[in-house]
Amino acid sequence: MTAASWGSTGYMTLLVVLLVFVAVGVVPILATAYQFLAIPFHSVINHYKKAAPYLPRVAVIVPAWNEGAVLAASIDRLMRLEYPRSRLRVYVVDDASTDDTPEVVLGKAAQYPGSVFHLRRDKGGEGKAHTLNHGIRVVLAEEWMQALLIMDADVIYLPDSLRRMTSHLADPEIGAVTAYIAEGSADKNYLTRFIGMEYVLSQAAARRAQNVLGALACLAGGAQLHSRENLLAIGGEIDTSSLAEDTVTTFKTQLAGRRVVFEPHAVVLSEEPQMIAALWKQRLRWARGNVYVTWRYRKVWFRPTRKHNLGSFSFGIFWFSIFLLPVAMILSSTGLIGLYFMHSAFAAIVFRATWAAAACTYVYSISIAVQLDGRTGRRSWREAVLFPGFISILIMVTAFFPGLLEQRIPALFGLKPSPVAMAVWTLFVYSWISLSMVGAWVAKRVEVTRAGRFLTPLLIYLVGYGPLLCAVTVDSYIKEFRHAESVWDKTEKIGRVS
Amino acid sequence: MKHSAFVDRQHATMKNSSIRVEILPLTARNPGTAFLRQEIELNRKSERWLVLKGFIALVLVGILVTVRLVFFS
Repeated sequence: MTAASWGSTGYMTLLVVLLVFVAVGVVPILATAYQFLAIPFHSVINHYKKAAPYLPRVAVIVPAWNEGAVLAASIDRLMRLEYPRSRLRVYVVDDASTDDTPEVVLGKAAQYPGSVFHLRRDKGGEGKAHTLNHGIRVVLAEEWMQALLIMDADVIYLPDSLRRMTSHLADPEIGAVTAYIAEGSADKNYLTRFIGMEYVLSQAAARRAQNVLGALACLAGGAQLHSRENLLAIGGEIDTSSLAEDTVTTFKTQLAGRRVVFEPHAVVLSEEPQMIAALWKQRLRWARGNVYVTWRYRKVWFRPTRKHNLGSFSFGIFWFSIFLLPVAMILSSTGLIGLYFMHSAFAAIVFRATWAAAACTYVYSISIAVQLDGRTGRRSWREAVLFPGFISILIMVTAFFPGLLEQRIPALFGLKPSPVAMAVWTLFVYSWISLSMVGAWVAKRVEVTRAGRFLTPLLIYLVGYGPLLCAVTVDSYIKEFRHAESVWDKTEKIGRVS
Repeated sequence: MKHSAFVDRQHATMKNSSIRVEILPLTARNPGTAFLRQEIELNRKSERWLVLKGFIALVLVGILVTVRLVFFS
């Protein structure tokens, strides 16, 4: 590096641009750290002071399309809820099912007269929102319903969950309440354990932080309780224009001036995919929904108002940190590689600072998450540790403890890496954050092969579960860019929740 | 919470100088206002543990940073 080159304006401009690229990659790390540091504040900033004993008349709407395998157990569990039977009605909206769903529901309606109702749509397959609206029209036509619970056919509510949710509706400022959806499959595999850990991070942890910051990103589709007043305020129906009807409902509630609360002690168990292909389909639907929501509410972001907190700077940063995470990862890699070729020593400093921040955030967030749900933490400790992937952990070690992997450990065996080997390793490390998404995509492709049974879990443990979700997000960008058809692909459920 | 007993009764235990009263549900389906109020209060109090959990997580980060500074600077 010469003094002349440092003096060059073009050189300096490129250097600054590359640094900005890396800085963009740091934003999601800092946003995650900020969000998780806010969690302890939920000890004092929560809604319990305004919650009160309140048992409104709740209409439960269960959208069902060919859910015969899971409905009977779900209805039985709903009827066993620790909630006054006279204040609970279950409306199963049968979306023109072709299996034994009608017979199952009618059987349960006979078993629980006056509590379980079968509503049939003649034309089905239009999506969950249309199905829900069919039921909502029926319950709104009567004065009986004071609160509406929207759930999925396969989820299991723990007995005390509903009353824990309704207590928040005693405060008229609260429009809707959501519960903690925990992965509840009886026959867990590596993927359901990863999903279980993801739900601890994204719900038990992140939604507490969102309670503190006063803006919730999404009411869980399988556990959202609305007051009648809120339902009417948002138009008396669920948005049918997107694949993310639950997120749109959450935004509409808050934009209408009511608050949305996450109740961490109300637990709902759900059955999650055991194969990457099914997970990919489900998450692609969610991710494409988020693309729609981001565009639809483009005039909300970063515009603070007293009416709601969706426009706050912190909420905007959280939202875009997830929505644009793959972009940030690619920019970060590009910046580091560019810096390496311009000034390798400087690139090393930037790399260490970036990945050391990532390491601290990872240790803090995983440590607090496993404490929030000890049961999941104990069951899924491997997935908790390897959430970012084994290779990323190696890179964090490389960044945090300089020389350990490249010099000290090889020296124990009398080895000294050559300069070429070091250059290859360095470039690999700098580009890994982007390569990890490719690795996750390869895991999906390998899954359908004969070796997939062993190779896919191995690949996911190596590249990480986080990059898998980022790869899905990239796929959603591509699908949206190509204006691919938005299809409601139902996730197959077979009643594995215990 | 003892859901096995569905009769309205109260347990009072003396602990130091404070009295802790545990209210049991009237019935499983209709536990009563006092029980629900107690449940909300227990939920609120249990959130206080978040401070300790956050502290433990920070300590782990602190250990990591200390090892870095002592052995790798």
